[in-house]
Amino acid sequence: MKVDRRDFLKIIGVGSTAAAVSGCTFQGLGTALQLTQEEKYPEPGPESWVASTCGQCFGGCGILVRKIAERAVKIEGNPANPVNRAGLCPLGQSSLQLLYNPDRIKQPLLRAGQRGEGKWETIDWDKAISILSGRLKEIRQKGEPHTLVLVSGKERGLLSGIFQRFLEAYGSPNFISGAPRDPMDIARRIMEGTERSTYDLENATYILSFGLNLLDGWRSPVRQMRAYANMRQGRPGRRGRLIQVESRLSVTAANADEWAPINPGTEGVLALGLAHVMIREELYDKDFVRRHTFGFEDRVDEKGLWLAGFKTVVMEDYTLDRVAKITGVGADRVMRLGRDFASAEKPLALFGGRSSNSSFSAMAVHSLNALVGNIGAAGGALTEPRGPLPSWPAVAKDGLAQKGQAMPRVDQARKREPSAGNGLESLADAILSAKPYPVQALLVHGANPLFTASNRKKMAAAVMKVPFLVSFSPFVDETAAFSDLILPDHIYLEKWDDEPGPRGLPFPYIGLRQPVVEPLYQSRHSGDVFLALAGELGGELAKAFPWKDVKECLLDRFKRIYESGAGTVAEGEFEAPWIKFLEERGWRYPATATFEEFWEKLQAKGSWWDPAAARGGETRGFMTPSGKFEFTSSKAGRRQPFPRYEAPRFSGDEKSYPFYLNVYTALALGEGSGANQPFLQEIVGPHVNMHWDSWVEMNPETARRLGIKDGQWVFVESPSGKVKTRAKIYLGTMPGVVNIPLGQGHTAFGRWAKGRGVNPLDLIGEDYDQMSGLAALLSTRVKVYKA
Amino acid sequence: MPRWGMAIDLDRCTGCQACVVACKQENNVPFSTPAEAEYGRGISWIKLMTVTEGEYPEVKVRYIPMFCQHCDHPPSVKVCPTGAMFKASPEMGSTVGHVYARCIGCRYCANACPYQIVYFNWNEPSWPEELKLSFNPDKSIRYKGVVEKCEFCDHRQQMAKDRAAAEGRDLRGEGDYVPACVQSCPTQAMVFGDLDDPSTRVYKLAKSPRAYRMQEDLGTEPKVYYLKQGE
Ligand code: SF4
Repeated sequence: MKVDRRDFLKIIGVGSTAAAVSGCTFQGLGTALQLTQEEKYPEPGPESWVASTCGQCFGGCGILVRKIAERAVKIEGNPANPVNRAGLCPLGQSSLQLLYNPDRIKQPLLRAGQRGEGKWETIDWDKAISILSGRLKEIRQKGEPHTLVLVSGKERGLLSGIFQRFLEAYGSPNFISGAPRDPMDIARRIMEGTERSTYDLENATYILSFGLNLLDGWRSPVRQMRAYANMRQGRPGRRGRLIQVESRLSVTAANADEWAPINPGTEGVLALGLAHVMIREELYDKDFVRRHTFGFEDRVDEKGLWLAGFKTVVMEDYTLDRVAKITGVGADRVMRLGRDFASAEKPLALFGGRSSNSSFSAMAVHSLNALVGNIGAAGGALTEPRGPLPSWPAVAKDGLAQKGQAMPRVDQARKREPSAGNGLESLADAILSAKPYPVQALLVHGANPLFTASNRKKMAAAVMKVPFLVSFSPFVDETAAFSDLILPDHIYLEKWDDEPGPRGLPFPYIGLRQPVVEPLYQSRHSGDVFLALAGELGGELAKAFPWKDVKECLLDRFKRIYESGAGTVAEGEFEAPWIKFLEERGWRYPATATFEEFWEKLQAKGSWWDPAAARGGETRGFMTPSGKFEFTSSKAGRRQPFPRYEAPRFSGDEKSYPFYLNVYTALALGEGSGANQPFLQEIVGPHVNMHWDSWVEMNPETARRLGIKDGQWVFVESPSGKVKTRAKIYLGTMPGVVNIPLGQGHTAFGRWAKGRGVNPLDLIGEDYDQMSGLAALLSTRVKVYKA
Repeated sequence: MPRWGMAIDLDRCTGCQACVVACKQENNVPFSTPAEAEYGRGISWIKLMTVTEGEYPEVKVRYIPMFCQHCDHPPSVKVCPTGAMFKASPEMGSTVGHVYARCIGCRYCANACPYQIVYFNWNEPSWPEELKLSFNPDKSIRYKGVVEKCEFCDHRQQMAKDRAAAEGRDLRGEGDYVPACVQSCPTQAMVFGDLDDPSTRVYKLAKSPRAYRMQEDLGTEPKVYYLKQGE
């Protein structure tokens, strides 16, 4: 008789065979045998589904939430939604750990001890609002409404509209957006005169990405992943290519056909090396360059001064040898990439980097798009279509509001450089120096500058100087921890809101957010808080907000959209061409007879879009002074470093600090907002087998040289600070670079975030890209040694 | 009855791990504590395997979602002393299932499985009260001392069957139900259905020249196909 292992066990009985099986410990078996446990089923109940829009990032994905009685139990992607078409990212999936997070703030908190001491008095909403409105009244009575500053994590959508309207009527110019701004947008503002950039990823066939985290959190993550998948396998017989040039082998690089490691901060040089190849071999789109661009050839300006054109500079300064030397990318590869890019059917070049020369690099990369003439063309760099979004009637401003609004912004945005946006970081200097004026009250919504600002230590010092700090966070995050008053907002699954999505969606779009469950606690919609505040302040302020509550305000907004006649409720995959067809012929699809019908449908389906407004291929209206794409600025006398190379700056000398520090974001934790969700903490580092923690990635050779082993504790030290974390050997690390992910190192933000890992921003030397004012994160050198 | 299987197009998969989280939420899988994760004792019925090849600078990193391969010849079932781990009959979809009540926690299956996707509850799973509100009532809560693994969301299959029965028809090979991971996949890299029905997408993908199965040489006859990157 043949006895297999299973028969054998059955014959002799399980318990006594324990010793017979090698390689196992029987700890679990022992305990299991003592247990008389049974599996239990959670409480059942009637099932229902609610359509809404994910709020874990600004991506704008439509969701369908499954409810059992009053509990939300699962979130699925909404197939009717044009952004994500049924897919969701891990953050969207983990949203219930946000909603049912045990560390949520349950009602307004008033500081009881010292700032940051963690002592709070719970108060009711009437008291909370009267404290805040009292303070705002006082500031206004002193005639200094401009000293109120509001930081908002979002710059689009209903809530940010309410904030901006409030500030306008109150009399402050200080709406500061904490929303990410990328250098490619800045390049496009300089070269094309508009920042409203979108990229036709759906139709590109060759994407050359210089360090952009295209597949790992940029803009609308699911949309990009879908576009990528479609590029790969959505067009039978025509598989698109992705090349990633980056100083780290990121998720995007892992998915790419080719990863080209490059010396940090030199991406722009490589791009111009490619341009050199394309010009030398006459592989560029001459017709486009001649008709639609400015500054390619040499010219003589109004004063009779000879100015070198793009072509001359690129041909003289960016020879293959020099490019190879600066970038570390071999001359052969530079040549091949240049040829491949130029000869691809629909090439597209993208940039994402945060060094002190990021605008330079972005412009260099974007000039590749001009050289292949893909600007405004299918598969290329497009301009975002403007949504109809009819705005609210203008605010009637009283004298104080007019005076206050005329004051300079506290962060002096646009004063330093014309293309500089308002930067969260510059707020710190403004507050500390009390210039142009002292800030008397700071309101923070949807942002956590004490954790995410690159100068966060300075920011913390600055915040301590502000006499009144108010947070609207649903959790005691780092910023809320130092505030005087916390007015917790709802979690996105409990509220009315809209989500216009991030920049760069290929069509005008608004996701509807509706309450999936009743608010669990005494939190309150920040929009309603502002409406109440306006009422308390009275006068023109109250008049500026005629709505009874946020829902009414939202309805009003959708009503205006409905009445404008543009777009429609998004219903499914196959409607788009149909809608376009009808709209082009002046019909409306599907005809909803009344606003009520439209609204009902919107609530059932979850979003509105206008596919007919998606930009066509042929339009090329550049909003620059020359009316063309500008390789170099047409403005006389403007200091124009591009395309002359600016080397990136790094703090720390090469000898004492031999490595470049590359801090990067990944999808799961983002800049840190996902760190309070265990499902996300578990998936932070699959490539290095790390969970719930930070690490520093090292090249195997480098680690060996330093005698550092995988998993060993090390110090990473820069001139600005020092952190202790574990070293992980990762083959996708350049020998001269070490990488640390952002998002961990919380000192507050609940039980699951606090005390986990390190925040590499503590190592960063404060620096900025001169042209844009964007904080430079890739600006520091470090040393690594055993702890 | 369909012979359920899956195809994963690695040319679409970006390694985002939406499947990982979707599965945990759907199946009431406990999250690990940091200490458990450190010991490699976290439970994740589907997880992202990272394969790194080459030498710097010629490095290739691949992401491969890994979970129960629902083998037609499952080694785990063979070694289970109590019949807790079983292969469903063709009438039941041919998947590999597991009955917790019969499990004695010996973990033979976990050791026998060449794909390392059977997980053991080393500790009593625990959740703060608030998070229990998000439990899925269709799936039981397990307990310390039993193993668990992917079941192709069998509870969803049961519900789909009931719906089909109510309509007076059999379960279709595609379109009646998908596991939670497949539903969430942002790139539709995961395709689920009847491997025996030539009209299904999974059937076609399994026949693709890019398709392969994990450790095929072991003769386990997995019902999960991976499609490698490339044309
Ligand atoms: S991409 Fe953003 S909006 Fe979409 S599911 Fe993920 S977190 Fe939500």
